[in-house]
Amino acid sequence: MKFTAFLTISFFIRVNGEVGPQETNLTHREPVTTPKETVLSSIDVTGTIKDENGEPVAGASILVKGSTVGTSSDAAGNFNLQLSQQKVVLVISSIGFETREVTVSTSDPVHVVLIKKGDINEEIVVVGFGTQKKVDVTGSIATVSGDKLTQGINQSAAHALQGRASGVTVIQNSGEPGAGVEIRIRGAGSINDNSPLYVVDGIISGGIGNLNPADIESVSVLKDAASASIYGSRGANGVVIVTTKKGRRDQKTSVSFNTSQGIQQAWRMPTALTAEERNIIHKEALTNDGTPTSDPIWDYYNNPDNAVTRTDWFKEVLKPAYISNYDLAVRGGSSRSNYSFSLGYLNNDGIVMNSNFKRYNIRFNSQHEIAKNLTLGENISVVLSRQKTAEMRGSYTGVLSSAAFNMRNIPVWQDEEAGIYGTPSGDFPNPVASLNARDNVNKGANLGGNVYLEYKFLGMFTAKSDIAYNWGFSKGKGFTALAPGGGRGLTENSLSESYSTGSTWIWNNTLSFDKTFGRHHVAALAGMSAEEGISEWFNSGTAKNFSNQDKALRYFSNAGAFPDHPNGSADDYTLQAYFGRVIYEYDGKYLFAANIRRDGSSKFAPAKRWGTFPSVSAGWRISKEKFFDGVADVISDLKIRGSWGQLGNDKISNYQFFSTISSVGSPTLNGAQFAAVAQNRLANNTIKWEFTTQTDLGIDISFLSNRLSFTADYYNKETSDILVQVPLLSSYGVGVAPYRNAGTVSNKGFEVSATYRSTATKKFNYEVTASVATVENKLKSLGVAGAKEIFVSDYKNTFVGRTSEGEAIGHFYVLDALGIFQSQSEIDSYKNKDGVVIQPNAVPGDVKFADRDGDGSISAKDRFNAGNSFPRFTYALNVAAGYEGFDFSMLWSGSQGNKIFNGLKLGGMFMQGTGYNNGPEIMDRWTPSNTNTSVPRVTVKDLNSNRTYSTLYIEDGSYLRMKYLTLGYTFGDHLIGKGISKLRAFVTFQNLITITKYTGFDPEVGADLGSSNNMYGVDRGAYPQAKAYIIGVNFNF
Amino acid sequence: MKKYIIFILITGLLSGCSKNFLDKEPHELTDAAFWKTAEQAEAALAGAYTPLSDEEALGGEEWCGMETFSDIGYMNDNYPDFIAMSEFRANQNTENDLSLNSYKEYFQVIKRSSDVLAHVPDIEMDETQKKRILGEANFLRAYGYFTEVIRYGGVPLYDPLNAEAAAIRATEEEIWATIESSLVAATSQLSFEHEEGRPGLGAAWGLLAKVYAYQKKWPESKSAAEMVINSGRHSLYPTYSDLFTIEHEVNDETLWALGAREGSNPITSMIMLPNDVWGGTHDEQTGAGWRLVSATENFYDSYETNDVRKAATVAKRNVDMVTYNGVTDILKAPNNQSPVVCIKFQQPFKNVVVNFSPGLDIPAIRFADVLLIHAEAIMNLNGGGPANRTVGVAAAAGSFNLVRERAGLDPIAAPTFNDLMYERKAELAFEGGDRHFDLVRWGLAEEVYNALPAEGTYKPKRTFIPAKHRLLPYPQREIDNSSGSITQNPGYN
Repeated sequence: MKFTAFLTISFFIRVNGEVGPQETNLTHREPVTTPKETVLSSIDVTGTIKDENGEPVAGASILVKGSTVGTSSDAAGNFNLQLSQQKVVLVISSIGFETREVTVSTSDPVHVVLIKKGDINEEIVVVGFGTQKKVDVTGSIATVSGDKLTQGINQSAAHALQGRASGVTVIQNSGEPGAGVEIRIRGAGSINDNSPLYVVDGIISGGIGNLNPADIESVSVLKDAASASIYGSRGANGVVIVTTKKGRRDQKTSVSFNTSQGIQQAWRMPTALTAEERNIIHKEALTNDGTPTSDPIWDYYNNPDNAVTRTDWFKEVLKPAYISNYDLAVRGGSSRSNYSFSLGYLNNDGIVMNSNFKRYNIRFNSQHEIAKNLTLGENISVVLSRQKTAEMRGSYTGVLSSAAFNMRNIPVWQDEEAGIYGTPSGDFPNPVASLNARDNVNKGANLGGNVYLEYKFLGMFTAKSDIAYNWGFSKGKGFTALAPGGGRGLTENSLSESYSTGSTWIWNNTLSFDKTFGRHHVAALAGMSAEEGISEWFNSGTAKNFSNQDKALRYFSNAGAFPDHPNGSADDYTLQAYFGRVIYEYDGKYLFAANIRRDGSSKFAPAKRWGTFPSVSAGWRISKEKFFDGVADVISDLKIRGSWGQLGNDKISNYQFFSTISSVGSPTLNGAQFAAVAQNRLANNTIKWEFTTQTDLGIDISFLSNRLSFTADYYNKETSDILVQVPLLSSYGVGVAPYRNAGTVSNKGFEVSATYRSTATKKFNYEVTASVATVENKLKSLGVAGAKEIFVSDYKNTFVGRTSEGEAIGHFYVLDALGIFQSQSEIDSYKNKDGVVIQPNAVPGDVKFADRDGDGSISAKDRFNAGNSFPRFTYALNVAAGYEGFDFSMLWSGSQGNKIFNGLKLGGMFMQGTGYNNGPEIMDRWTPSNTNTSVPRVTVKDLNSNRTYSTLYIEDGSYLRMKYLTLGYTFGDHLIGKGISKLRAFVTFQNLITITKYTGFDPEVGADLGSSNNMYGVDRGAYPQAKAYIIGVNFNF
Repeated sequence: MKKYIIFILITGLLSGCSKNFLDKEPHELTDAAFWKTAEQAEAALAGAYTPLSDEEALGGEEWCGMETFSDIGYMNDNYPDFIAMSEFRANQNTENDLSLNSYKEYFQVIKRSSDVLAHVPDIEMDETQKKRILGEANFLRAYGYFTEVIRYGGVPLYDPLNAEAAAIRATEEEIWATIESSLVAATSQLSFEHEEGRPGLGAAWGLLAKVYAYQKKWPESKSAAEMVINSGRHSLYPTYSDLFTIEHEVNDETLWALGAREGSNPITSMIMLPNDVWGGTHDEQTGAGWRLVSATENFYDSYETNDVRKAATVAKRNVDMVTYNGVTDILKAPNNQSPVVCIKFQQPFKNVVVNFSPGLDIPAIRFADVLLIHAEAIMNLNGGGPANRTVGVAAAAGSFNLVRERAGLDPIAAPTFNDLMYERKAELAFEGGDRHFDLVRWGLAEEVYNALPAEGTYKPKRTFIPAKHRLLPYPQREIDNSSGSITQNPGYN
């Protein structure tokens, strides 16, 4: 049973909105003093009532306080009232808004802005193709407001979501600037791609990794099938809906400017053996292996010069790094239009020397009522990015591996003036040389936007047509300079470039209906969507022999040799869908909704192309029943709800039902390269949609006038016909396995969250939210005849992971290390039932492995499920408080009970050979005088195969990390200069404290990219997260 | 009604183009559109050559590494699991790029050449060209299976028309029969003229002679070898050491070599180069070789006096002069575990070290090999052979002495099988591990290996059990991925 638990406690204070002239604002729920009423001659009072967004509020009640005189506003929000008194108090109320009292003493027009109730009963939730009142929602939806996403400096909206919504896991793959994250909703449904669908301002988007967190108004996460099924085709892994900030109607232009500046450093500095320690270990290994002292290999260790520690490679490559961001936004609106314009700039130096990420975001949107009931609007976004990467993951060129395994007696420079580096003794390069020599820059430009036209008619219908287009360009350029003495990979210069352009258009057309007939509320939606995307790429191949390596000359024209030939191709897809939704509510008590969507995808052969995805949901607001009145003082709201639905997944590469011939390198024939092709992938024309069926039962209950509220959900999600590439035997002679529909995975769990909000007082406000979620993930069947398991995650050519029937997806599959043999007699007596000595090659100090199959020897058959990377629970703790001008907040995020395969132990805890340094844990190796240890004796020959992957590589990956700690102060009016309406200064600490027993670089290991999409927790030497100290200011003008 | 009109209009717009809207075709040739022209046939054939130059096939580490199974080589400390196999103490074949990738790469050769054989006959093209393409495909298919069968025994048979076959192991006999039929077909399709990097008729007959020898089909082996010997198209190159130089790599002796160009695989020269040639005695770059495979002292000492092949093959620390990167001096190589390194493929680095891949062709089958197979067949047909190792067979002297005299040694009038064992070892050392495969097929591996004392820690005392160690353990990844249809070789688990 795997649990994911999730806990958020948050305190927050509300911040006032802007108040225009002629307007009165009653955000503070302060009692309004009733002025003395004086009878004077009668006057005519006119006015308008609008909401915060400048939309007219129709049907609002306007009552003279203490009388029955009153009226209500018309459709345009206007009212007219004859008063017999000249100074009265008007009480203005409307469902869903805070009731306001306005003192009227002249006949000047009264403009009243009603503020939507902060009451959870009136919270609006963004759902697929629309919005819904939270109380009417029958599915399971988590929402995160934009202000939660701008704490600290986050590279993107996706990064900022970590710890913010229950059942939503954000996995950081790397601390490298510009690196992406993975978002998982309710576990892993597929053995295939588990990432959710992203929808930004109504348009399906490739991801939110480049979205500026400062531009976000809110994020809705649709977790259950009924909520997501309007996006049926690709909603199986949940849907993340992002709404960006907009201007408001009748809003005076507001300008805000925020900046944060910070310093980052490695949260923990890794270490490796000093030269003296290395000598102890290596000499001991040579002695253990019986290497005669006459062997010249000893000369190296006997040379006193080699015992001098000259370099701390980690300190050479991990340096403090600067990070800054700037956001400027201008928003406003007239009575018929509103607009928003924002600029963002992020400059993030990496803690690994010479790595950097810069991004410029520009976003513009506006809405115009171009004719009565006809609205035209658009969103435009431009993103430019530049990423300078460090070589991190290469198995022999990775910078951190090189820092770990290079000898520390080697200097960074052998002769700095002559530009000659200290030469490594093994085949890892000098990491400083590698970082200096590799000039790898990725540049990206993305231009996207949509234009829509919305027409409201007959008071109940809305027709909307929305067309979106996105164009992206990316370029990668990698130059490796010759670095004399730098070691492997740095002995010659080379250049390669790659380009890709991609464009997508999506056209959505919807017709919606919304009408209340007495106690019946009916809403319906019908729509269609068409989408087409194409990407084209080009790869130059490698050019070599640059006679001059000057930065200005790193272009192809200056290369001397072109051993590779370029390649390039294109990829395109189309998708078409029809969908509908009906919602029916009776008296706000009984809630029903049904969705259906039919999708066609170009990824499947014509006969398998279309899939239909239905869902239904229902809710009952018990608290609205008469019999509930008696407890209404205690329980202010109670709703139970349930949903069932089916969703699809087509996230596989294009053209998988075609068998193709592709380019496969260029052999040398007749002395020259010769173009070669082959069938490198097998086709499967029977593949079809992957299906997920999910049932969700939920309850929402609140107490104490909604100050304390709980939400609980139970879900059962079963994914079948999973699209998966079952690894193919090499004897098929192809490099890529075909996709097939195989397997069934189930995810079940609970999610409970609770919120407590303090009674608002002027001085001190807070809010507490706590939530807990569990996931039980299980592969029910693999669906492949005769196959019960798939091996995954190849680390140095051996699988370390396995997915098998009846167990969670992707567990570690290694030998069981029972301990260290302490004596020869222990080795001799370690026999199987037939009396066979199991480890005859062992000597005291070697690892004792479990012979699980009892055959009398240690082999691959003895591997077992040694745990997995699913946490028992992950948790987050969000504390924030405000006292007068001060605000304080912090977010703790942690993971408990997950395991990590620490690949660096291969060279850290075991000898990789005499050419490499080792990690500090090897100092605790077994010796006849140090027997109480789990680290085996040191040996290069390793006749007992101590190094074989075993539980010695598996570590507890639990951690608790303080993601943010912020202390801010908002200056009072007296301190604010002319034109500044708000000034706040703050300090933020990011990743300040990390508590973990994990010994690798960082416990946030992430997905095993490039090897297996569904194996997590395989640490190949990930780029560690940075600790950051940030100061910043927010200005509003 | 307005709403319906809009709705219908939009529906009409969308569905109007929907018929073909979801049809998307790949931007590569599909199988259905391929196999139409001569150029496509040539490119598909070239596809079968590609894997041979990969790091773990003919152009790389596995080819070099197989010598460590014999008594003449060992591996410095890079691949513990491969070393465990070569020291006959492994229970499984895992955690090494060498075997796992080479198994895969040779199967790509098999698949791609089989696809050529299945489709090219239907292409309308010049018949001479078609014949050559089919002949080369037959040869490559045979070479792929030959490489697999001598390592792993019965491997799966790839059949374009029967996908299931690739999931189960065929018998060794079935694989040998497949190799023979492919080579027999190739001998009717190839001609003696061939481009560098491509096999000609000589290579086909030569490999066939070797394939028959592995099966002890001596009359067939002898006559196949004679097809090469009597052709008048092939001869021994006068200077042994020049065979492995870029200047002389194209010659009448090399029946088939893996073609090379500078900057592209193979990397054989780098694999055997020490990582520090001079041990600090020169300021110049000290070398950045991988020193993966080196030679034993036992092998160094086993050369007969005056054998010119010794100086062309091995060099000893503090004894022999070597030329590297423009410097000629006594070899130091302090990071080599044994004092002896293999210098057979070092000639490209003599004057300047350009690149990991200097562009030296790698000989896969030479005329000298065929001459010795011919002599071996004659011995076996005339009372000699592994069981009668001291019986001299004068009839074998012709082919045998051609090889021996080129090495600067005196001819032997009636060479014995012992003499032949020496010739094959000295002639073919470090060229893909023939020594080990020879000893195994002769049934002498147990006797030779088990009698050797330990040499340093790098070549420990080994125990060869014929029933187990005649084959390598099957690659574990294949067993893992097979759902039980691929089983381990006898004796391993």
